[in-house]
Amino acid sequence: MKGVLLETDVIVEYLTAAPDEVPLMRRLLGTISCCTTFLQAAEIYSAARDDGERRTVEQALFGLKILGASSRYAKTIALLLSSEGRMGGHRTAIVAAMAIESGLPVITDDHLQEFGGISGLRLIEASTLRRTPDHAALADALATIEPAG
Amino acid sequence: MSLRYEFFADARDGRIELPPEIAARLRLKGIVRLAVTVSTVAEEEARLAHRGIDTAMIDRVAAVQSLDRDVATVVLGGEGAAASGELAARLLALGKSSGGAAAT
Repeated sequence: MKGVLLETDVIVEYLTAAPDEVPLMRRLLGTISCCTTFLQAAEIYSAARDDGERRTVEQALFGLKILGASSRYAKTIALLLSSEGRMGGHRTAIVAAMAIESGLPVITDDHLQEFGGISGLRLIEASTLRRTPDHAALADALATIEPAG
Repeated sequence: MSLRYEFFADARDGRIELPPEIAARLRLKGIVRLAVTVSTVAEEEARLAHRGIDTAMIDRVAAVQSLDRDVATVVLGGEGAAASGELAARLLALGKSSGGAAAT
């Protein structure tokens, strides 16, 4: 696997971790290339109200490759938006399309429902990875995720 | 009047350059003399050690994410950087939303 795409909830957990907690994102940063999209970055920035707070959240975002919008995603976004029964709206379609086109599984706890059932999208439950006891087990769990077809 | 700005800067040839937006704010306020505290990356590493983040972890993150070691240190310094307060509350409010801006 070439990397993973972190949803907003995983990044928020990192920034708000208590001193005695080991957030999943720390473990992932030491294990696999970590990406997110401009949407998650924008959501994180939206919580900041001044330059000091923006610098605080940037400390986490500096470590991630932030995928930007590209016309190459347009067809996949359109396919997902037009899929019968899809409920997630534009955000879901854009993030899912970027993950599919980039070959990255999405790691989240909070967005499992909206991403569930999207063809071609690999989804990893963050809480499952969190339960792995050590670095080797986390790497093994990530290695068992099927590669993009 | 007491102001506090925090930023990362390179120290080269004994000079530290202020970020342009901070320089502009100081200029607007007519401030020409500052009290400066220098915090080095080594101090940041000591702070990280309190969280159980050792130099091996910093090196591993730098290697896996293809970052300079100093940048990896900054990134790991972001862990828990908003553990409490209003920013934490706004970030946590984002967690369950699906894309809206944080509540004011």
